[in-house]
Amino acid sequence: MIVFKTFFKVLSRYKFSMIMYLAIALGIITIMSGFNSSGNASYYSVSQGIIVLDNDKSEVSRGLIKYLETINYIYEDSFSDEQITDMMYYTKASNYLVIPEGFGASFLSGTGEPLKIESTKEIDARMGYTVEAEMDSYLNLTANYMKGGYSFTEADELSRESLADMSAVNMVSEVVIQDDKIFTVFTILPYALLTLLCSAVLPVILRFGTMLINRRTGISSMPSAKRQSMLALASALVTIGFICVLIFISSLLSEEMFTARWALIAIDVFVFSMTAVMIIVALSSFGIKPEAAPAITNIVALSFSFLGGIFVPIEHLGGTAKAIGQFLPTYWYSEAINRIKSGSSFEEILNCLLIQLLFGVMVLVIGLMVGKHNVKKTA
Amino acid sequence: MSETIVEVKNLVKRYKELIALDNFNMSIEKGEVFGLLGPNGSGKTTTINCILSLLNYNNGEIKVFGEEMKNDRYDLKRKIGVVMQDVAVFDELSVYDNIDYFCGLYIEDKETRKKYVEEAIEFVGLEGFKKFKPKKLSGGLLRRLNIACGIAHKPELIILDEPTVAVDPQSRNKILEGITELNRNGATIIYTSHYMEEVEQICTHILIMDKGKNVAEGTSDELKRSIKNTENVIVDVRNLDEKHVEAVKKLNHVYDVKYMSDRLTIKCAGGRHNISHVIDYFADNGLDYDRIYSELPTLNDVFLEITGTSLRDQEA
Repeated sequence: MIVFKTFFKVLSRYKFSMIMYLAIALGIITIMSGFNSSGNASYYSVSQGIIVLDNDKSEVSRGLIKYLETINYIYEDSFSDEQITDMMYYTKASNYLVIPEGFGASFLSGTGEPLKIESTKEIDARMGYTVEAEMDSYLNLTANYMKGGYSFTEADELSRESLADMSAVNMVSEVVIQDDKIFTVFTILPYALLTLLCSAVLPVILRFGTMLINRRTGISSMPSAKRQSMLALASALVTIGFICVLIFISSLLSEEMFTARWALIAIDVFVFSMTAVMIIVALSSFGIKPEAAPAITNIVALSFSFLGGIFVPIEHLGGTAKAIGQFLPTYWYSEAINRIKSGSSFEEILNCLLIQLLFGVMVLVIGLMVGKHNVKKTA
Repeated sequence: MSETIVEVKNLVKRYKELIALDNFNMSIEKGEVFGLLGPNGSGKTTTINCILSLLNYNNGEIKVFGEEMKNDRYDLKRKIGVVMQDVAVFDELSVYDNIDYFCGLYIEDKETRKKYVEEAIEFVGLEGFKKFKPKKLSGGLLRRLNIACGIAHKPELIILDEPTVAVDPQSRNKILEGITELNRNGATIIYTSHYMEEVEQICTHILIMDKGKNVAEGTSDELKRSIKNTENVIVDVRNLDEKHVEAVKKLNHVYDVKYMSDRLTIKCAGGRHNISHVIDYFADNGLDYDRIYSELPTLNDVFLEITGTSLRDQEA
């Protein structure tokens, strides 16, 4: 028990760095959880400026413009080409629509290919596509109503009512967005775990493993296996403690606990923790001084987090970063989260977990081999 | 009848081409303070590491307490305490907790351990520093803590590897007194040091090692008697002509003379009144000198004569 007891005595000397990294991790988790917070403030419709040149002036073109006007701000075309270019450049308008002459007649006839509205979008085309989608929704819905035997006036009215209802449906989808919070919050956990383990458990294991201490304990009457198992048990308890605290806080922040996907994510966290402990044990075999632990904490936690899709989503990583990231357990942790999010099969999720474990085992084997070599060299 | 505590027979240890121990033999009896003397690289630490099973050896036999020493002989390890040259303690723990930890590697019973730790603290004189962290201790106090960590479990065999390096005279005396007391209390001591005065002062048996071999052993007096040199006459004299140096060489029983830095060192082999002969020579030739005195040979002289080089020169 003396090794076990001493582990915690030494660990208590690192409580300040532990508290500091825990506070940083919780701060980041809280901020991340805020990105998906519920409420109307985070969900509002955006009005776009649209420049419309109506060469048709028909009932249909007027109906379309009237509908677009309920959502966006319409500029009737009275601008020069240069002015239009400037308005688009400075994003005062997201689209420049030209309704060709005969568009209304073509639409009402319902035969053949209807005349197309020419749409020019601004530089950041995201908003431009939204306007085009709104336009298509109106025209398709109106055409469908007319096919059902309604007149254009009736179809126009019904379409607007339906599209207004759709906005309400979009508001209801807030619930879905709120649910995604669990993924955002839990994605950051590997960073928190790595920093906590590297700043607390690593220096303690390194201290026990320093050449002189190791030599002194190596000549004692306590078998090496007994000492090592006590150290492993103490490290495991500390790690489990960290996992419980982090999962509990993350669950509170994401307002979700004991659901099926929560359980899957918790398994992912647990598997990653095991991998992280293996990394820590491997690192302790490299003869690093305990004083170097803060530097290692930053190097390991930050590089693993940036390249593994913790801070930046995997899909946003560059080609090289993504290629390197695939060799890190954090990447497969994030990938598992993504697969849980997209409702992938358990086998697909399991693959990610196994790759994490494989990484841990490989690093551990390398660490133990290096450790054995170092012991031979220093004896 | 004396009991052999450590027996090393024909020990051979090779590091690739280098032979660190070359058929080395050593026998330590119960109750001895056994001094292991030799320059750096002579094989002292390798010998100790082999005895402690920290190192595998190529050939030979090591018996501790009459039984073959192996890495898994925890019953034998229980009876051994080691104080290494480098201080090996936890910076994060207090003096008390450090001793408690290292004692706890041998003694599981909490009450016994508590008693032993208190006794070790008292033994090294660290009563006022129990709650101090090692970084707050001076070099001498840190050495004492190092010793306490190695002896707290009351071992029967204590190995001390250069325990007084970089220690102030007060702490050094305290440590040497402590070692003598441990020996009086029944412990057998293996003591390695570069300080020959210390070895002479506390060791009851001395072994001189060189190039992995046992080159001489015995008590301090036996070693000194075993060499040709029986007396050194030293004369502090300025500007002495070479002809006088040569003439002194021809005096009875003188076998070597060196004149360096205004000091004439005359080595004598046997004979009596050697200093009188030198004084007479100086008087007869009208030579003035500042000081003249006679010294018995030291362990350094023993080492110099046996190995052909000074122990202190090799250390440098």
